[in-house]
Amino acid sequence: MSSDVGMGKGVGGIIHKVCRDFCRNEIEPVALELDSHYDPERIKAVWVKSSELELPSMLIPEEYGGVGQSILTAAQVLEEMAFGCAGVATLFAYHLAACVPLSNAGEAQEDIQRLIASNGEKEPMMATIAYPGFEEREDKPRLGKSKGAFSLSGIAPSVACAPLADYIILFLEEDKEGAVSAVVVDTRAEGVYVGEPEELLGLHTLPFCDVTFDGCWLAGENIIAEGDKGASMMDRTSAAFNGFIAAVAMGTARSAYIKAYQYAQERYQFGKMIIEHHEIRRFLANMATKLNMGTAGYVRALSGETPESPLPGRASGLAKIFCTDAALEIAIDAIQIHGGYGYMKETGLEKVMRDTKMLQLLGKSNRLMEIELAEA
Amino acid sequence: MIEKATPYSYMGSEQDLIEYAPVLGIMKKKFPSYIKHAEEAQRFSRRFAREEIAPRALEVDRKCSEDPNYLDWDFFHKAMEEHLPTSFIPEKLGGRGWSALDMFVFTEEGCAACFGLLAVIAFSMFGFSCATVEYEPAVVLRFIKHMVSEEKEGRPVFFAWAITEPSGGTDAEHPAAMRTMRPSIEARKVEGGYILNGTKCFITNGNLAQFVVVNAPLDRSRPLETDTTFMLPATSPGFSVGKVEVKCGQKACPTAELLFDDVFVPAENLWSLEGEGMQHTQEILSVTRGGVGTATIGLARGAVERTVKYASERKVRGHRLIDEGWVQFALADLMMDILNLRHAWVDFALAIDFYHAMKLMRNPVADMALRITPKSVLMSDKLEELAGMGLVSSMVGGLKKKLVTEEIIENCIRHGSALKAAGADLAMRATSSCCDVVGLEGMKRQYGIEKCFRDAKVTQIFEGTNQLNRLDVFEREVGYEF
Repeated sequence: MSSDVGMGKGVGGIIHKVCRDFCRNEIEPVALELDSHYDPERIKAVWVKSSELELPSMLIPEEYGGVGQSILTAAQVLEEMAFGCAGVATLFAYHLAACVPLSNAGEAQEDIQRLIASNGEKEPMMATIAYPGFEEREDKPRLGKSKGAFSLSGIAPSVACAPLADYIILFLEEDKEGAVSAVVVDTRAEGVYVGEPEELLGLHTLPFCDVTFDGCWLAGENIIAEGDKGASMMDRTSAAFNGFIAAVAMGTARSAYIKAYQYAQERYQFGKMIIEHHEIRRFLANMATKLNMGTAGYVRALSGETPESPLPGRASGLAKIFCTDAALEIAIDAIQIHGGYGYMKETGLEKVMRDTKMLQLLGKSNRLMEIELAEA
Repeated sequence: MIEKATPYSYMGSEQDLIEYAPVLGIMKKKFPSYIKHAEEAQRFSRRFAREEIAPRALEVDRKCSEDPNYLDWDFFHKAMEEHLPTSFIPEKLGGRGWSALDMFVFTEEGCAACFGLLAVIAFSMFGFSCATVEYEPAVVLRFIKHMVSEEKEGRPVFFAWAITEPSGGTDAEHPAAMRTMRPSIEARKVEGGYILNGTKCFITNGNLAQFVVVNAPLDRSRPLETDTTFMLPATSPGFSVGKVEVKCGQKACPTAELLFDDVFVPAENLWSLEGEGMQHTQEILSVTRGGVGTATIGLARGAVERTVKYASERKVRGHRLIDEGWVQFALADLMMDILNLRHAWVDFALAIDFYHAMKLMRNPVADMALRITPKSVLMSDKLEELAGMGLVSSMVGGLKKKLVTEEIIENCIRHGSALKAAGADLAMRATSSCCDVVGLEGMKRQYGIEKCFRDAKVTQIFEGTNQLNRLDVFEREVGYEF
């Protein structure tokens, strides 16, 4: 019972199957445990294992040892992964989004791309993205320039994957309006301090930490892009990221839907299977509608991408709003169909509800995005 | 990591009780002491919520995540010092003499601070209300005496009310559904009593309870016709507690599975007549659903309050988050529904006090009798003996049946179900919407908003699922008969 749209046949279908097996064997069995106890070692183990399938290097061009897949294919892989655990899938979403500016930069960022694409040889590097410059706070990170080198100081709040990632791609607002600097920072560099993981509602496999930059010096090659070029790179990255989160939302919501659909055929109330009750049928059909529309929506949003024309950012933003909102509704309804059992940890549905609530808030929260995307 | 205490503020600063609903102002003119008592209860509840509940909420939530058996005894002792578990017992007998209005006020205030901690106290009261429903005066007196004397010794008395079974939650609360049910539990009649065998699940306070009120059919093939309510001490041989659940939220209040293996219940512990278990359940639900509805509104209010506080302190684009247009509309939407539903619970509380179970307490004869009888007599074994005599027992039972008619019960189920389902839907929507307003950073544990979200979902499930509640409303509106 997979999605009605998207990958079905051919190469896409093979990737689909490989990812599904990976999800079943490596992610699903540990999802509930990783949700209760954050364990960086085990998360890293999943990461390393995934490199056998070349998942970390999906978006790195073939010339640097990657797979050179499209954003859409990456999103569909993430959907499959999220079926097992939204937290693990979101970790990959941050990494793959970070691969967008790196591969855009081409030769200038060849080294990092090759490190990410070290498939199977050694532990592949992990990257993540953060937009700390757009927060209204005094201590936001700023880039200073002196004697040909760049100094970075300030605090980037709630950076996803910070303690696991090797590189953080930071998008920083420049003084000139609309101008953005995209910089890559090595998390092991001097002057970079990663804080303790925060305790949040969901996505517990994915640590969020404050990252403090104090006395952190960057060389010229750490600056990926500046000014208008930096701004358009950020837009492309956000467009990919939003599409990824939409896909993750659909994947995890589908897992909840399938559980609810199966349970509705096992449980009796009023002397009949609950799937025979109109109200439960309405629930299930609504869930399926949202899944099909959401999946079609993000696939359509990401299909417009070609190497020449950048991603249509608005479409993937709207897809993220629809898919994550729909995913939360689906999770809540799936719990409702399960009754008391759905509220207990062991069914795994309350985790989906907590995770999908978090997905709504990643990047920009949905309600804020609505304000921004009202105008085309 | 150090747990930062949640700063606590009240929605609309410190609104007086009569601002909750105009009808309370009118009532104040007619029944000044009744409303004054409730105003006092509100002042007390606010202080208790601020000083005792709110500061503990996050820490208890964390400890219960690690160990679902954990109970904050210190909190419970504080509650006992204030006579909260016995709050409905007349002051003269050692309680607080609270009316339904007083208790509902406490419920909203307490749930705004922590839904889980409040539930530990409130659900035990529900269990006890099972006894008062039947108005077996001897039984009620016996338990009142027991609770008061245990409280004096600092020992809490917990009741659990066991309806839900692995095979059905909805089926156990609706007559037509119960007819089709395959119960997981059965009672067999033996000499001098009954033998219970089977399982109950998701029972609030089940692992703490000293007394368990449990529904079971005498004949599995005719569950509705033979459904009967029993009371048994948790020390009964053959009774045991199974799994204590790991839940999404409402963690401070434990939920457990109860196992019955040839448990003998003596005939005197029969709490409904044979075959009248469902009526008994319905009568209790006619009171408790309104209480749970009030709790959901407190929960929604708690989320909104915390969000208002967060949004007032957080700066965006040169102003406060709360000054953003979208934030104002998101919050206004919730405040609107909280205000509307608050009218509904005020109305429901008044109905309980003036038409339903508490009416007996407001009966002039009963009131006078309570006033003039010395405490030593009220608490004596002689009175209990007298109350146990057939004539007295049937007199009180008859009076109660006259006062609390079937019609009143049906009406209260209708309004209580509407209030509970609407409140639970609001709590879910409100907590989710509050998360949207505060964003990723506001999801940090210390702000308590994510906890409200986790707590809220259970309200759509317990006390009859929201689907059953809807059915209960519909059937009474349209006049279905079963």
